[in-house]
Amino acid sequence: MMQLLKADLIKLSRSITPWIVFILASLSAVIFASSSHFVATGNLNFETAASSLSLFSETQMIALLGSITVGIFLTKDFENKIIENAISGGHSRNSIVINKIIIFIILTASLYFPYVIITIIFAFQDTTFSSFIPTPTLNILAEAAQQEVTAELIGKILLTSGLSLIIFISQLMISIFYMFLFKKAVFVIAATYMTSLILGPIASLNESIHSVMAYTPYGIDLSHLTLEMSGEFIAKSLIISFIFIFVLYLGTYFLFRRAEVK
Amino acid sequence: MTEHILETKNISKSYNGAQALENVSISLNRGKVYGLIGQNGAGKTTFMRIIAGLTFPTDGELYLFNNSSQKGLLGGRKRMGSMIENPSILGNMSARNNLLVHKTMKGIKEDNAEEKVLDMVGLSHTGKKKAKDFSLGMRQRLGIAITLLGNPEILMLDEPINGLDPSGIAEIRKLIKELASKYQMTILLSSHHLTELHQTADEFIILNDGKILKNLPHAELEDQIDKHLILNCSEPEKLEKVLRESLHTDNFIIQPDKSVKLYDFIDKKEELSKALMKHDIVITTLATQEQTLESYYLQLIGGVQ
Repeated sequence: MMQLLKADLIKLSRSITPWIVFILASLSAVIFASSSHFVATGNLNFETAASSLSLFSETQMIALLGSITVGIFLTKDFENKIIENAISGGHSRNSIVINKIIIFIILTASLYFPYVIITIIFAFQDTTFSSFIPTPTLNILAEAAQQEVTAELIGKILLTSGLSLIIFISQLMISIFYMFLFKKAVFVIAATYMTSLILGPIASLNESIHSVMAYTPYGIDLSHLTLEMSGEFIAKSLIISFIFIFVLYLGTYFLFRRAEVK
Repeated sequence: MTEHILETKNISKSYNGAQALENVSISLNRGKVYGLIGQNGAGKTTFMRIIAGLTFPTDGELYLFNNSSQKGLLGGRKRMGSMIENPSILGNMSARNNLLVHKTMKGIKEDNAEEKVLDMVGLSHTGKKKAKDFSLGMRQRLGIAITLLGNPEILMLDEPINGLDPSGIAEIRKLIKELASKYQMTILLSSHHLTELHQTADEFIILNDGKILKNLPHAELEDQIDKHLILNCSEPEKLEKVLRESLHTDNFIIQPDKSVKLYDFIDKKEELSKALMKHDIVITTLATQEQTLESYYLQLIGGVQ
């Protein structure tokens, strides 16, 4: 499996798509943090920021850029026969699925990385931020700016960012399942993004759907991802996310185990 | 115990009730080139895909290096190179970088493996040119180069000469023969170019409607291919009489167009010619004809379909 991982990392380093997506994520992080600052200083209207600039939040960007990255970078491997060659070269289907999950985690982390960097840079400066929409990045920025820099604060920032990343990964993990189901980049991008768009409204349809969704990463209330989040919330979010990742891994493996590869 | 590099026992495959392969059994030995012949839809690609692990047989067993366990097949495939239908190429990378990705995937440590295979297929001049700008023939050569990485013991090539120009075809033919003789590779080739296969393969596996119609070595094919003389003249009746009475042969057929297929005197054309002239028979055509692999194949499957 290390051979597949190394080969994917070579592809990653020589491919332009992940870099473009990373630059877009970095620009979004800068725009989002700036908007938050200007809302806090009164230079930007709260409603305008909450309605239009929320597109640049990490939750929106990871859903959008994450589905594009999985579609273009990972699913293309079916179209250019890299996966076919891995199978005919004696790699087990399980190792192929695990390898793709690892690369997917690396890619998702790289999309979230600019937001974490911005958070760390501004958290330790005398800059005010407004949590105009309750996302982990703005929650951390708004809270950390009011506190003294201590090791505990740094630990809390890393914990909140780390937990956010795990939740984002588990939410986007559906794209890996779609990848092995559809094997076509365009379908994977569309289905993943649609899933992230429709699950919110579906969850609020009625109480029973809402209670089911609460046991999935899509039901985790991201506004609770703050520096002061409770241990119970951390544990519950971690358990739900890891179980969801594992279930989707199993689903993907069983889907691909005896599938025809064309 | 004989080591069959690749062996299938009664492999069958059906798709939604339609039979793509039926009880296909073959055994391939080291250092030989096998030509897989069949029309479109005969099951050639399905058969190769089963060997490569891309699809699974409905029934039957596959052995690679005498091992049919799941682990054994994975290990066997590591010793195999295959190009089925289109080559696996990343368009935004150069030939060298494509090879680097595949070399890493195969876990090949050899430093100059890329250069070696690029040289073998005649692509060492391509430099930084991206694969998406390659011609069809160059892409095909790159695909073959990828399969050659790591000196595989089995090479499986589906239509490898598609898109190649005549000199490219000759080069690939030479390369395939060299790989089999010099490196003892076992090569399974499928191609619609039967003339080309005839020149390259040591053994032919003829598939029709998912079944093996014939499995014959090159020498046996040569024996089965009938060689004869074709004679044309203005007086076929007189020719028949002379052949029977003076040359004492009835090993001939008079065809509907009145030409004569003669199975004797193939190596004694001069003697035949003199004898016919002596009887005042004016021959307008005297030529040696032999069946090609193509005509043999067509005859076997019952004509053009």
